[in-house]
Amino acid sequence: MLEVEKLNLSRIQETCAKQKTRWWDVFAEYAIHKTYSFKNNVFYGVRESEIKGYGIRLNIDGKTGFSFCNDIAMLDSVMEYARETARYGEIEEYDLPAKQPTPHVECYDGNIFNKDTQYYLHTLQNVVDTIRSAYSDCMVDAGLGCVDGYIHLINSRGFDSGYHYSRQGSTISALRILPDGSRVQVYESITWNSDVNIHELSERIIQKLNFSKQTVKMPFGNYYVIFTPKAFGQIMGVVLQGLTGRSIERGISRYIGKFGEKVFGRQFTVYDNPLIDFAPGSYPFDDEGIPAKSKTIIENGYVKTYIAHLQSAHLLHVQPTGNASRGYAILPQESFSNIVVEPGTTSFKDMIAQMGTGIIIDQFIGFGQSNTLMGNFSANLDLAWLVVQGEVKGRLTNSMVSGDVTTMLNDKIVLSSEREWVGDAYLPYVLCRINYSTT
Amino acid sequence: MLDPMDLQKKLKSIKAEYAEIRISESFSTTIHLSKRMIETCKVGTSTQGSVRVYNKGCWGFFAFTSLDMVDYAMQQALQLSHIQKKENAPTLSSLQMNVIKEKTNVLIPPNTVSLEEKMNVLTQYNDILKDSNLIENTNVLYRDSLTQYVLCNTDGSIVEYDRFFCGLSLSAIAKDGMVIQPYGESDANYAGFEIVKDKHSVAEEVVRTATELVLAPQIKSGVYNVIADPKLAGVFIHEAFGHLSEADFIYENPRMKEIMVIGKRFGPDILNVVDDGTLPYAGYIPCDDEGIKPEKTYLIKNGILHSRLHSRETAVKMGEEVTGNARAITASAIPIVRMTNTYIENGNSTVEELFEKLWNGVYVVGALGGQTNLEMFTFTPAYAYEVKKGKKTKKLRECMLTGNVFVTLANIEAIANDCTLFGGLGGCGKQGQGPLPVSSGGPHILINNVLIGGKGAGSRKTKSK
Repeated sequence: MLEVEKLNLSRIQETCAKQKTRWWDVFAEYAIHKTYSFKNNVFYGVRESEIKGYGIRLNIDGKTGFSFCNDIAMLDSVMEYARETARYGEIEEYDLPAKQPTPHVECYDGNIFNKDTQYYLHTLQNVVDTIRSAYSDCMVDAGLGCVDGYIHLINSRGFDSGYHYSRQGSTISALRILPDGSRVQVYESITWNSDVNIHELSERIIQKLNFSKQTVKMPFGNYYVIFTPKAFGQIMGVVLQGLTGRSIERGISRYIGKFGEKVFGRQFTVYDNPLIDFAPGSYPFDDEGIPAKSKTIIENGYVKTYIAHLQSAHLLHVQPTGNASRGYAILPQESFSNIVVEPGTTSFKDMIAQMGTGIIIDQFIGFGQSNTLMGNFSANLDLAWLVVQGEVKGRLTNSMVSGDVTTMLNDKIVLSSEREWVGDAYLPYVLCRINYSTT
Repeated sequence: MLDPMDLQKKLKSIKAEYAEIRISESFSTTIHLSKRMIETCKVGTSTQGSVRVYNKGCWGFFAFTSLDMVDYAMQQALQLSHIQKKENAPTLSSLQMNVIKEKTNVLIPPNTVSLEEKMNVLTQYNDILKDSNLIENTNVLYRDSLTQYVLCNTDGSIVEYDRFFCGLSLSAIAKDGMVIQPYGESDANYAGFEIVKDKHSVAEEVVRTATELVLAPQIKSGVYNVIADPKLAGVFIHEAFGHLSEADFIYENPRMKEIMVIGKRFGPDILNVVDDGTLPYAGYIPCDDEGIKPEKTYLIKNGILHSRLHSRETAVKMGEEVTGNARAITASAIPIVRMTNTYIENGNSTVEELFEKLWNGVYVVGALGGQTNLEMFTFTPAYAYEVKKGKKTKKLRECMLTGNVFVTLANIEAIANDCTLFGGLGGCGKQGQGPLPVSSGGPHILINNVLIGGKGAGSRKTKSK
């Protein structure tokens, strides 16, 4: 476990306490990362880093200033910068939270650090060999690493608490150039605060390469489509945009005036839950010191609530939701923790059969470039397959889909019984209809 | 900052085929104003560094944020470089020795401008952006930094670079009923406060465009012949071919080497594509992050694949010359092959001739971004115009262009002679390192049969004259 005394927090606390402020807080981060990587099927190298950083907010005469540094030797300068920026900062009349009980959630598993170099090399070599035993012409890149981290928050109201977190993550990509010259690249990744099952990723990759052996065409039109959890993760990004206090306070949320109304299909229920043991988005308190709690964001299609940090909660006259997120050099912003979508009752296999003819979409290109404020999207299909009468026929290229999430996620959607973790979201496969365009 | 001569001495003691130390200390200011509030006003310092060691085909890398960790980082990186030895691994050393000491030329050093003055100028822009009933939110984002950067390597290179970076982004979000439409402009470069002054007319243009677009119809999905303006032509060539020219995607992949063989035709004779890190735009570097000087590299010459972008590892492994394109987003990140200033050279047509050739189609303007998987790409214009009988007609909002890299390059029909390069506060992202300052540009270009995503589904084709 990290030697957190290296953060020198007592010195910072003393210095802050001497400032003439309405309030202050200090966010300190300390993390050691180590990642082993294979490139083009062979071992490439090891990357290690040790990162420390401090972010200091001072509220002077109601206005907030902010500064940051990596090296504690800069502390005096940083205090001066924070004081200076406070002259021009926004008026922030809320108070910081005092020390209060926080819920327990497991964020740290020290066992992940007990593995030696040979374990990492062997595990990654195994993954490369497994994929190449199925496709010998495949070029595989694979990384496996872990983080030993610590976050500490102190403030002028006596909040003084920190927590350790561990993280193990892996990303694997496999590239094939097919005989017709077309390029298929499948990537899978997983992050968890405990051990990850990297072999699950190679199995998924092989299945997706199996689907992509040949390229097929399909005329433009409106079709049934199944989003894999990975693709649905990007759709969820658009769904959740506008469900923050900031966007509501700024007037740019498309959900304004729709809270309590049915916007999506009745099957659609979404939670924000930071209290799942070892999940990558879990924490006992947020980065402003508000205790973490689970919230229902969308329930049976009804938009129930939004997330808010201290500032937007104050401006909107609501309670902060425990969703402030910051880095040492970044001011607090609203951020979802673990997003959990309720599953359905249909298996993925039955979904394919039920779809008849349609498309399975796994990877997009350029998804975030649309006007997502409106809930619209338009994206090229990086990895998608044509399904005819319940059978996968091959990969679709030179094509794109477009639509808006509200129309798409209507009462006719079907959610799978299986779910997968995609980053910090736990998502099902989703069957719906979509507009498809092609050259 | 540590003395580069001391760092060079430390490197002499290391038993490595190749090793480098990079350290930076930055002082930065960020201000973000929105319609209703001051979102951010922050000033901070950042210390970053790393040691990278190469031995027998294995890289060891250690990054840190405290200058007293240099010795520890050297030990760790050296140890990591011995984890696995490869037979017949090539040597990557003794490629170039460069001793460079450089400082950005600026008219108004940002650190001599008070926060008060910066706030005054930005508030003026924000007031212009807010000046319409249709504007729901505004964003004025300003960033400057002064970075002292040092690189030393076992080739004997010592690079000291004090660089000022300054940039501004102005955007407005218009709202009409349920339609929400953002639009913005951005400029950034290795320069001083002079590049963000006197941008009132840009703010006025942003408001005008956002409020026009929110009332404009959405483009219909389909296949169109299009003219891309210089900004979008730059994003197109960055996404469609620039990334494909980065040799780390090719150097150990036999099939990619076959596809990207030098001398292969990729476009019409009129197409010339260049990457040049020596030009004074946002992608400028005096030296790359491996101590190699940048140069003017023709990626495509007369439609033929001419050369590609290299790090020292990819150049040695492919038996080609280094090009000075190994760049890292910070001193604590690993250098990877990146573009610098990438552009299409002028062609032999006028812009008017392009519109005459297009006759009916779409004129796509500005750029919100782009992405590629090295076969397919997307790029998103800020907006578009329908073109009828060679003339721009109504404005259209929300379109995204996509296509196959090789097909689309071959479909370039004409290139105008008004090449312009653009930077911005955004940049390029790759392998988790972004936004890296780059510029891209070109003249107006006419491309046939581009798939555009918008409203509905389609594969409609437009016909040229």
